Amino acid sequence: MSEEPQSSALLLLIGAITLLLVGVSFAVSYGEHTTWSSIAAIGISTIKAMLIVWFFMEMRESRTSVRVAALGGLLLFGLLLGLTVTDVATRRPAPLQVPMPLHVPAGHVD
Amino acid sequence: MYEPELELHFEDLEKQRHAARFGMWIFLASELLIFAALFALYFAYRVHYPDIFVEGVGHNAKVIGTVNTAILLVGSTAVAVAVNELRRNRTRLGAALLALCALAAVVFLLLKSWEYAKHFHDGIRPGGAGHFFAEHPEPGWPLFFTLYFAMTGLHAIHVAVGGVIVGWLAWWVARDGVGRAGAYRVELGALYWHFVDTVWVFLWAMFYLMGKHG
Repeated sequence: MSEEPQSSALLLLIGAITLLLVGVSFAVSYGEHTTWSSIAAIGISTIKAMLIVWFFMEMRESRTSVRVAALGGLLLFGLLLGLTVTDVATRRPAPLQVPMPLHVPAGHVD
Repeated sequence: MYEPELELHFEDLEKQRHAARFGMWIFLASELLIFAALFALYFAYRVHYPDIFVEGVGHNAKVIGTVNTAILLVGSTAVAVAVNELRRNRTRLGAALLALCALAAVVFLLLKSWEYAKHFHDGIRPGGAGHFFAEHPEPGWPLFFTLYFAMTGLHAIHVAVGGVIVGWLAWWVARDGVGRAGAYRVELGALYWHFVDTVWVFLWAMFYLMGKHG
């Protein structure tokens, strides 16, 4: 990571862009709710997060070891999230239904 | 002007600074995994109760949530510029920007408390307690709001910790005249604040945007 100061104007610009993206997300959310509006909300959040990590957290100037640590965390995050959602979305009978059946009726055969 | 001491087990300050940054990133990666479990629960239950999760968003204060998002982002920008200005030995400006970030944490928590109070008033409490759930007996409702309280509550604790850290850094920078040499220590606190901010931009989308507006 560089110890040299960078342009504060660039950091202020990034801050302004993230605030602009907040406004865009807020405006979009007042439209009709669809799967695509949810994807847009998460997508814009991802862009904001990437700007924060890349510029504010100075990932763009970080050493490889720091990048590996960050990517490792992100990879594990993605695995946990992806595998969990894939499981509950595809398993039959569906898990996580509340209230869960407390017992299997006598003589019940799948 | 503050000068960091070289610890016994480091050859030079550059290695000491790198070790500190690397350790902070390992810590943040582990923090991410704490939130990962809750994110996984949220999306798993959203798969099962999509209608309730869409409706549930309408019961949250979207404008307050949006203002809070902006507040955290202003705090993040302030703390990023503070680190940069400290590298230019602009101690007073750096301390002032760090104090601004600490103030952002306070305002965020006040608004979040107001939101929680409104939910309690509306009979929405963690674990499905409150009259709201008697009127909405479907099992997805307590799941949505319990996740809401758990995730935003855990995040609020992080904001409080981040606010204390950044506030303390502002005081330390002003007291000891921290400049370029000590900027990396401020940077560690800044990383924590940015992480807290990053988590929130997703929580905001999940609990305030991805559904019907109230």
